[in-house]
Amino acid sequence: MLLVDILTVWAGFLLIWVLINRGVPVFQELIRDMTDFFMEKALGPGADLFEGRAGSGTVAWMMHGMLWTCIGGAFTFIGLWMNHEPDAIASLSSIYYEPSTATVQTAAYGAASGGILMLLIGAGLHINGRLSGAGVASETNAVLVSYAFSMTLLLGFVSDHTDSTWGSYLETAAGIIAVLVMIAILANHLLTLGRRTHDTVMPSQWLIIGGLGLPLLMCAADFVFDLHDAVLESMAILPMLASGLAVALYVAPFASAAPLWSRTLAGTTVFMTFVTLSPIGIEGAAESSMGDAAMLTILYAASMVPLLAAAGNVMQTARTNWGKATGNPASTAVMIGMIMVVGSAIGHLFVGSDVHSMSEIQHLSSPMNLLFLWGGMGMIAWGGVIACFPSASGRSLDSTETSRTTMWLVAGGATLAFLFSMGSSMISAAYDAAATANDSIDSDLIDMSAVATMDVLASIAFYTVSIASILMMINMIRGLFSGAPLGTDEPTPQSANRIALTPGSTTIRQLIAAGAGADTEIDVICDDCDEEE
Amino acid sequence: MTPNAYVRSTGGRFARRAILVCARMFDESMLPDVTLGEDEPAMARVLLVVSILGALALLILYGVLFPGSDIPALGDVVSLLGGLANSGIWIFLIGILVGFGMIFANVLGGALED
Repeated sequence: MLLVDILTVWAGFLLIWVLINRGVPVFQELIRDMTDFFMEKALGPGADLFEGRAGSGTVAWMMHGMLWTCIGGAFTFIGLWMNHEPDAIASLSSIYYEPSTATVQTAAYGAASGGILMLLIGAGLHINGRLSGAGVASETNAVLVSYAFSMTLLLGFVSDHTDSTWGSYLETAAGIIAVLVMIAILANHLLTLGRRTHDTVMPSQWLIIGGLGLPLLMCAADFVFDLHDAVLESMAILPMLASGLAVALYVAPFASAAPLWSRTLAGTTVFMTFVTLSPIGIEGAAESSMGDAAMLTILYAASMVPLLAAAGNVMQTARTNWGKATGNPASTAVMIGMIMVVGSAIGHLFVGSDVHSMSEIQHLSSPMNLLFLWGGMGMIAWGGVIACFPSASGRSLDSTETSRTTMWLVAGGATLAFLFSMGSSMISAAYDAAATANDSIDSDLIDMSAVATMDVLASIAFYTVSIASILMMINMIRGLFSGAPLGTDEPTPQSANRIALTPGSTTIRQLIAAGAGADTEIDVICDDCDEEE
Repeated sequence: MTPNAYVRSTGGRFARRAILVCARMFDESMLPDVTLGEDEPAMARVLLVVSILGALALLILYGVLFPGSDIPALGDVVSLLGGLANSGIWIFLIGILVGFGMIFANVLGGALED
């Protein structure tokens, strides 16, 4: 019964709230010590593989996440292209790679959503560590599980391409590992929170903990109560949605150098995110009665409240120091992302409500998912990377301009791809409806070139997102290896290890121009000197 | 006016100053074509990539707006790739493959340098 399932969700959130505020009576210290032990020492040699330097967990999650975002972006582009040319990569059949359009699109969505989720989790680790004042409890564990989660994405990617039972086996393995990783990350967050240096738990921390904890609790509750499919579908998107809101509510004050505009709106965002059901990503797996559909529609509508509250809070926070906020690409990305999230959520509200009733506008589901994933969560993740990656790695990104340009490429590309693909699906649906309504029309004779045109434009628009992901990945790699150490405004140029000079006068400027640095060894080579001596 | 102003203005960080000196001494029409500097902001490379992508997008748009006279696919131009790259998507995929190659090269370069 749906009402009981909703009450279960609320009870789960209440449990998280009580545990965070009150802890576990009597067993608190025991649980904390045991969790600490399992996070590092119990892992044995696995934990020794990584150094556990401060910020390394965030860096590992973000590097893996951006790599999967690149892969997801590339395959999303191919999937969009194959909408109008299904045989586009048929020539790869010579190497036994001949996926259908649906296969490519499924694999692309898995890689992209996993990659963006990894970026958000990486940002979440940095945010919780920073707001707690004590750093992440176990950086070693965070790094280790980032590799495990990356492995689940790889297994999922392969299983999406595998039709046999092996595909199911791989998918099951990926799911099990992913749940274990989420438990480890949640434990890390809880330990971090337990070591906080002040009493207040910030909104971003609530969203991070709740976003990771509530789906795990509902996953366990499903074994007991057999929860409604609509509840489970909403829980599937919650880690990404809540983490995205957490990043947005951190980056806006961080970039604006001003606290959040409203405590009430922040509290509303936290509370309503977990007591409502989001329609985003709903595919209608559930068989619903009219009463259930009505209740779901109310909960879906209520889920707009936290998004509108968060968007308003972020915008007003940026407005208090507009010049500084807009001068920072992270803040700009988050603001654009929040606008996109609200837009896609409103669209999903109609699509999600429709899926449990008439199913008349389901052709809009795919474009809405694209807007939410890339335009909304992608942009917020971009803001998280730009704001948190330099602090975590201790080095600035290679180029602020590249960060800003890629941000606009993603925003523009995702928006245009959404508009074109939505236009394509609407035209296609209109043709189908006309052909169905009028038996005299031969559907094979309808000119569908307008749909193909829209599909081409959508795929070309999305190509900018693919390229932007790759450019941002390169920006991060270069920043990690040779970015300017934080605290200095000067870039760290590549300097030569050794420079040979001939006798004569020179200037420091000429030496620097030749590639010399502070540690460069200078050899004065003089063939005649020995003879003269 | 000294010859040095021309020498300096052939490039380098003094180019702008040298041009200013020249502009004061001569009519602007007599300025030499020596406005090239040594600075290479990262934004310039990004703009270059965006320009190339824009040009490709416009080529594809041409094919969309004027169906029947599509731009040739890679396989049509390079006969060696005739059996492989027989779709316009390969023009775009080459960009993505080059991008992944750059990612790999940067990781490799950074790791070896350390």
